[in-house]
Amino acid sequence: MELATILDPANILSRPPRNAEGYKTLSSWGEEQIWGHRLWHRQTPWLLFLEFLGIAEAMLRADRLFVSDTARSIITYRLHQRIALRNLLFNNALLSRINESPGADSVKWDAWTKWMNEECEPHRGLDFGYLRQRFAKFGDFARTIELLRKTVLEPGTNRRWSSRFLFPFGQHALYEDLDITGAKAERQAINFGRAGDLLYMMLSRSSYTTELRALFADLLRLPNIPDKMVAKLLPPAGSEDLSGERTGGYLPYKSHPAYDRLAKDWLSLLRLSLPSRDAYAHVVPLAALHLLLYQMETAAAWCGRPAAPVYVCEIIAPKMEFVRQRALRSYLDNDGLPRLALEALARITMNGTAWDATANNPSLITDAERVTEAVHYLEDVLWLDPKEAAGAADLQEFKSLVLRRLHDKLDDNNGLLHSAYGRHCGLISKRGARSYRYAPTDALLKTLVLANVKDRIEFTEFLSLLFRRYRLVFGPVEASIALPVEEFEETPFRKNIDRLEERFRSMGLLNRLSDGVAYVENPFSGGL
Amino acid sequence: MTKQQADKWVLFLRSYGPVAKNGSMYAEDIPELSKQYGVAELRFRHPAEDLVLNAVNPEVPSLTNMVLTGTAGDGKTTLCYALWQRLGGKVAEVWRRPYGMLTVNTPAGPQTVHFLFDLSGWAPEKGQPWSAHQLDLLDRFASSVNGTGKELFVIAANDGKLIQIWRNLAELHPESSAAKLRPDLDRMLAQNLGSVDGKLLRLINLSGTSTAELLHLALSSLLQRPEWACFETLADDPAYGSASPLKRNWLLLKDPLFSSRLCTLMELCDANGLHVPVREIYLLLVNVLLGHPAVNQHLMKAGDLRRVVADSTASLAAAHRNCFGDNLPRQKRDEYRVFGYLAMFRVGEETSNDIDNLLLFGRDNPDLHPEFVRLVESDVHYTPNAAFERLRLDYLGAEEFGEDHRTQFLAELSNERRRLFFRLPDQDGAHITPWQLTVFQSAGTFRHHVLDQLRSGKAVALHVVEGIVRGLNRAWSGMLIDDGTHLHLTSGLDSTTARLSPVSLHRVPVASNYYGEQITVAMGLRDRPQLIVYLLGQSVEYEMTLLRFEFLERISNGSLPNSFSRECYEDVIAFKSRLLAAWQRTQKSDPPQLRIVELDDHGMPREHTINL
Repeated sequence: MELATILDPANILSRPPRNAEGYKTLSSWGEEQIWGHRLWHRQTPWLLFLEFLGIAEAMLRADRLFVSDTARSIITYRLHQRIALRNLLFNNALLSRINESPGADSVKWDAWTKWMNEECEPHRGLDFGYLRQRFAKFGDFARTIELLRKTVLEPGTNRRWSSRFLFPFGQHALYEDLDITGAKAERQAINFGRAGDLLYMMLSRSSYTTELRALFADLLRLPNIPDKMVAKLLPPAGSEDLSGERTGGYLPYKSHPAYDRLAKDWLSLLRLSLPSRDAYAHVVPLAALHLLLYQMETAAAWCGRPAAPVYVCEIIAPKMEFVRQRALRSYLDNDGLPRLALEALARITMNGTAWDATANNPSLITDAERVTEAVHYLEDVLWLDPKEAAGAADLQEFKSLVLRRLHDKLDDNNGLLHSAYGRHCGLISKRGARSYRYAPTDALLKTLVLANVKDRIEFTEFLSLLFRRYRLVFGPVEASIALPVEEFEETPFRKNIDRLEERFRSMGLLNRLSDGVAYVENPFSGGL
Repeated sequence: MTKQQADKWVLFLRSYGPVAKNGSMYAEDIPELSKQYGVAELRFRHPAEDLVLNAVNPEVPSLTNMVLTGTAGDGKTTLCYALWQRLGGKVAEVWRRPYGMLTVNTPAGPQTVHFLFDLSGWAPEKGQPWSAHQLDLLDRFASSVNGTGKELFVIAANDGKLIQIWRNLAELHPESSAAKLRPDLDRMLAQNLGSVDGKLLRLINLSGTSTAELLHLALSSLLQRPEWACFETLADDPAYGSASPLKRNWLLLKDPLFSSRLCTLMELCDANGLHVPVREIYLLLVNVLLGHPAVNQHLMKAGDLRRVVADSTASLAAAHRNCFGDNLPRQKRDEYRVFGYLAMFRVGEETSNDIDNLLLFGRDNPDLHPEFVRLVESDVHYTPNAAFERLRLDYLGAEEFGEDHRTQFLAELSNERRRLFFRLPDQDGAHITPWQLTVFQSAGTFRHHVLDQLRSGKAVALHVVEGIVRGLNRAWSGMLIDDGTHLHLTSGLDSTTARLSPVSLHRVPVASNYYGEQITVAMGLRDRPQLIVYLLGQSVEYEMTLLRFEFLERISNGSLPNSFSRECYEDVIAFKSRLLAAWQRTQKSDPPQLRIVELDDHGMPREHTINL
């Protein structure tokens, strides 16, 4: 797919109504027009994945999993809240003390149930007495909670108790993010910022929906031990607590090269012969990488570039050398790309026939009139808050004011995403140097092998595959294509792939024969 | 033997060493030098020679094509010439030519055999077009491999070149039948298969030959040379007299303790899956004999020998230094895999208190002295190292011992340890063993209890297998399990490879149970030991390299998994994943209980059950 065709009007969905839930408070419709609503830089890969999985579960329940309906620009769904479960796991301070206290089980059950019934937030009169029948011993109950608590995701973070999440064992362990204070429980967009929505819709619009549906239906529904442990803690059927109707995120493009690329990688990973849900360790960071690629590729299209940007990757060398300089440079170039895309959007919006017909209409006489028209126009197309554009003396000033507003918003979110997601997925790091650049971690390298290698592939062919699919540049062949002549040197890139080969070898992913031939091997493809 | 002849012999030997030469034409250059100096080449019968000669044997009815591959310097060209001669060809006809053809008489009538002595010299360079003739010849090769051709092919190529050429072919001519052989060639090379079903093709990979065996053969061929008579006839010449470093190093190579230790190092390389080609084995041996850091190209000629004897720097040419390439600048040393492999053992950089006490205090301390005499001083090749002795006395006596001094002292101490490494007897259970001076402290156990046992057709002792299993249990569960009688398959609730994995899924006994489940160590592919876990009707193999054995032994003895190597840890965890995937395939439904492993006071695992 040509990059320019992404922006073909026929490929762009109409935007959702402005009064839709979650869209009312938007400060402008700039970034959203380019990347959708929304890429959220503070969302870690696990939060991305959980948000995605929660939606997938809701859609599976509604029998619409990965069904794409481009007639509607946004989807709606109802998510689990699991008030009882999250109180049991994360708002249950007295449990271990009661468990360790002397006394008969019945005394412990009585004391704990009474306490929990009062402490549960938000207080909705839930009676935790049902748990007594489910466990033979109070100790088993306490142990179950303790074991599950150990699987809390990102335990090092300082999140409030109602924003802590379990490892997604299955349908019972999923719930939406809530801010619970006293009697209130409100949906929050800080942890689940809708990037998971975009992920869900990207997959729904890929060519692999049938395969994905089967896989995720199994992952969500097939019983497994930990999910059963979770289920055992849930209140009896009938007291199911679902959220109200939630609106989903907006993804502008009906088709985009990023969709199939993501879907294919996820499918390959989920089909590996890895036990249990071990593939998640690769699926999750890859989600962040694919959103990063989506952001960059789309930005390049808006900037009118013929191809997606390249990512020159350094395999960490002992000292500053040529490849590191190129990696730094490539990182900085790309980091500025979202800004250029936004400027392109501003240019397109404030030029051309529609603009000339309104703000630049010859019937308008004074600058003030033109500015007023421009404000109305942009309020309509860019959802610009008129208050924010007030005070411009003429159109020139107005344009720079608008641009500044767009920049401000970009600087708070989309402008930070490349760096944040890049670090989260292991593509970007400061390791061994003072500044950020592309320097993939061992974990990401391993994930790339697992996602791309079926059985085995010759090392240099693998490098060319990584370039073709992701635009990652490691070796001299790819660098000579990707970089201008004056920025290319053969030897340092050769050394770079020597180091890469050594990394692969030490991770057991490479089988070196002799004299220049090595196979990259996937230890988990196919059988044993 | 005249002085001139002896000097030429030294010069000829030197050409096998790490000196500048045109590497790719090695097989062709050496014979010319041999003619020039009037000295016969160093040569032994390659262990694979019969295999190669019999692979294309006209007397056998079913003839097959052969691809002979290996690392550069493994002797492919030499073996091809041998086959060419055996089939009636003359070497002079094809000398330095990449291609030759002859006709052999077979029971089925005359048959054409094409030889590509050097595929990379014959095929077009990368980016260059293929000629119709070249394409046609490889297509005919493909037909023959597919059983539809009438001719036979013998192709020699380094495996790297082979793949490069086929990749190039597949890019330019994807539809040619030759290009379609690529997947089969890939599979044969990567999995080290000699043949695949349905193809008339024999792949002989010389890199599969045991390095220890090659070293043994190369060493005998070298030591048996008549030219060494120079030490008798020219004893008055300092180059060949008793003070000559060449003579001393030659005597050391003849010393069974030294040479067998060197062979053992190679045997352990084999066990780690590392192969050294013939050319580099000779290179190593010549470097041991002639290496010296302060002469031209770091290898002595006869004149250098006389000079270093005269200026008393002969001790810098000691075999235990040259053996690790100490005479060479780092960059030069890095060019040769053999020095890289030997460096991996870190001989002399590791040590034990007992050994260092002996080296530092043995001479003076009456308690240590008997052992010092037995292990150090009784060495017939031993000449006191004056530099070390001075530094040692300084270290023991001097009040000030500066940083430079200290660095020198440590370097010389490490050299003394290296010397001792070649000197210590390798006795199972002794309190001082040579392996304490290497990173592979368990190498002795590995040799005696795994390699030797398996080679003599015996089973590996239960306690050794249990040691491995205990190491696996600890690495996999993240708990200090003190049980090696069962392999405990444990998992985290979330990830099966969680650092702390308390959920018990299954356990496999080391000794066979009623269901045939058991754990053994047996000889696998290419004579390499492997751990085999028989699990509910399936078997999962794990090659037991020295590195993995060392890692598991250390954990088994109480080290933490990450203290030795993170890479080894990842590798052991990948094995766990494979085993758990195998176990999961046998599970039709989830068990009704969750079993959690807890350790009792003796480190024995106890299971606590929670009903679901």
